[in-house]
Amino acid sequence: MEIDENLQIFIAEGEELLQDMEDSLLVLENDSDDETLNTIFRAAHTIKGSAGLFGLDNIVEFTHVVENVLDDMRNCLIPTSSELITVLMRCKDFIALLIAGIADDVEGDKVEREELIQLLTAFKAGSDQNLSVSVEAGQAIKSEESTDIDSTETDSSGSAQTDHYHISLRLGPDTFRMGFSPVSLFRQLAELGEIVEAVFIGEAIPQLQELNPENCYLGWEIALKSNAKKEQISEIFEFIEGSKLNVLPPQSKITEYQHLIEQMPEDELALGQLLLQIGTLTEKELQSVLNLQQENLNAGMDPATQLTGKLLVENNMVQEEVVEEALKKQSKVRDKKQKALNFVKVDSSKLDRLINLVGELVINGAKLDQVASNIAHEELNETIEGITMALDDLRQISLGLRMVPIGTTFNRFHRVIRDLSKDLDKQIKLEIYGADTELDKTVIEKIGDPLMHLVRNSLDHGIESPEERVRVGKPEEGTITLQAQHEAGYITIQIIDDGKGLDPDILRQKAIEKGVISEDQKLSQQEIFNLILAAGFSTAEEISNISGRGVGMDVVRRNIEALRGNIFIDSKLGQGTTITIQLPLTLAIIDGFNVSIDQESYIFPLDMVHECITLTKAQTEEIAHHNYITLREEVLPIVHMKEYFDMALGESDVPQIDHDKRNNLVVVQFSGKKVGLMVDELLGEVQAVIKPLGRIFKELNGFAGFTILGSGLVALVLDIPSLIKQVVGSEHQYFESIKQKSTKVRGNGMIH
Amino acid sequence: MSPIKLNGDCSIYEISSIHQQVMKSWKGKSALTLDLSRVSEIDASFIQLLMSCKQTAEQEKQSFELLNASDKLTQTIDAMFSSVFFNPTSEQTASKEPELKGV
Repeated sequence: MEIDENLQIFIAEGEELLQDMEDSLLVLENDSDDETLNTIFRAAHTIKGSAGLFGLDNIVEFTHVVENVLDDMRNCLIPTSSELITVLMRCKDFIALLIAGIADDVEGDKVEREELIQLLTAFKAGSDQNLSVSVEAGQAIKSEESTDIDSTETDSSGSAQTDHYHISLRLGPDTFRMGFSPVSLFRQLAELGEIVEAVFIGEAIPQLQELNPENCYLGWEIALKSNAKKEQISEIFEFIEGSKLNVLPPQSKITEYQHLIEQMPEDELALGQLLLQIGTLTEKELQSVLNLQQENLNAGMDPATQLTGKLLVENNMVQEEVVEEALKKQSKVRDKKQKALNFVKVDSSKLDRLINLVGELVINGAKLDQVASNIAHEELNETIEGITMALDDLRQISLGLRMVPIGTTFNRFHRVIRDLSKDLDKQIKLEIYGADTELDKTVIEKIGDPLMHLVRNSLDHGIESPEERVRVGKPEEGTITLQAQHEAGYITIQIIDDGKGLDPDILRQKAIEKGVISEDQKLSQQEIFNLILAAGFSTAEEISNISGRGVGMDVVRRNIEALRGNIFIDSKLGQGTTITIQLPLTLAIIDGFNVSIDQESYIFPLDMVHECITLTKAQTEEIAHHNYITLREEVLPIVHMKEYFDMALGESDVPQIDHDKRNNLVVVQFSGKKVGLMVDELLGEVQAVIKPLGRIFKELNGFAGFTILGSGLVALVLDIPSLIKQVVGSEHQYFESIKQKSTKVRGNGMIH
Repeated sequence: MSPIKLNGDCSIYEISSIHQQVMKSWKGKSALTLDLSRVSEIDASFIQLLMSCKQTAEQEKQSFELLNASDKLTQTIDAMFSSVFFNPTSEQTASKEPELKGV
């Protein structure tokens, strides 16, 4: 199927609605209140309606069944149970699949569909029994329902089937005085066609005391079979001032009848019955109208509507089908209006373009700044200062546009945990902290899968069975905590479980078995934990269908690293495991710190720069002997950047430190580890638009990208985390990495 | 209680006085019967008045009856004024072929 713009909106909205539905279902499990049920019902209802609008019959049909059950729940005919919620969750998933499959005309798994419908029917049958209707009758309703759906298909316009005009007439008070006689009006009508039925509306006539006998209080609902034009009919009543006239041609939209009913002063329900009596509407159509009414009065809030609700139940909700057209239109428009108040939907590619442009502006702004400082013209400098400030705000805001709270991603795990803990017979609760923490949308999108994997792992391998937990003196219910927080330009996401933790000995054993490490290799605890991130490593004795195939963790690691992020594992045997993911806030523009190393400019991400110091003579001496200094009683490893790159270029093996020159040290910090990087010159703060390095540099580690400076020169952006990793790593690894680097950076050296 | 006899034309021109007459004669009584045998012409305003009477009677839990209504009147009422209000068995009326004879 071709996806047009509207359909796309439907898909997007459908996803949102389904998410609402899922969230509410989870709430419902613990706390059944009407509003939550209403939310769920409305979600299903709106999806059904919108789907009907696009002729997505399979979605309509399925959702309809779901909706019926939900409606019975609302009417307290079906008790809310955990089993039912599980089924509804599956239904929600199935609908999500259907919606996701629209583009490919996927019909969804027939078996799953049948099964779900059977389950729902079983629940519904239970409710029908409550209504003292036998199960057989329930099935009869079902079959009736399917024919209803068929008829909806043929009549997708949502029109009434009537073949006559419907005329609603309320004569104006002066009718008699002006000499009009209702009788003659009827006669004129009869000339245009056959009056099939006329129902007198006398409710407006007051009691004798209040009656002004010369006033006219009369009204009629008339069914007229006629080939005349609408205008011809209206003309008859044209001159009667103060009259209300509504002429509906044959097969008008259901909404118009609804509108008619609403317009007229009489009791709506009675009027509806009247239309039925006249034969303007079939019973089915009337129900549609009444449903509309119900919809409008906002789902059972009003006593009058409850009456309608009852009526509908008595008449078997199933026939509600005819509603479609009008209904969906209405709810769609209304929903849209509500949403439009809070959000503007923007194509994310437009945002990308905006950010790109802002990036260009930032680059050129920096250039301008530099030019101006050369000219040293006061007024010019002031103006540029203003521009720079505005530009900074613009950058912040436009980057902010892409920021999305991570809460939505986190909340999905309620469901995962609920379902999986059932499957695994474990009791697990999820705690979420920092759901408001914002992350770049691209990052959020890419972090979903890795997070899912990690959470599943925690569920499966981390948390023990309730019996086991009780045995080791833990509370029966395990806890998984998801938390997010900002930390120096990075966001950290943690998945914490209070499960059994990782056993370093077993891990080590496994790693040796699998050939990931050699037997005599010495590893720190941290490194041992990190082994589980290595490819082809699974510690689960038994492979369950949830996790433990050993393919996941290295993929997780690679995904996170692709986002310039890092993953750390910490665990205490018997107490639990904490997995920490660090991710950059944004991928596009950073505040950078410009330094020069051997005449070349390099950018450090400013938020990772902890401090800059000028080395004292003693410290310089210290470095000459070993690669660290003692800074405020802390050992700080030092990397001589020039040496690092020089070594990489293979030109020099001896560290060269010029004792007479000022030696600047930039202390960078990442995930609690500090490293001093020795550079030649500190050039100051810049805004760097990070551009990815071209494909030929794909293999190049240690650089996050490049940027164009104000001067027009290209500067490489250092990837501090990977640098620190290399430095802090074991001597062995360090050495290895340097060797690797040397081959790689050599290629890079050419662009210098 | 004796029925109230209405005489002559019962149309918009007379309707105010008929209204007064009916109210006056009904006052303090528990039932109202209108004898229409001498009525020569009626129009919709009269029927409206009758309906108001009927409604009032229902409200006050009193009885309201028409005597000697002409076929014409009954037919008109059947055709045009069949309502839940005036004729509770309107469904039966609905099945009848409406007749629209001038009144």
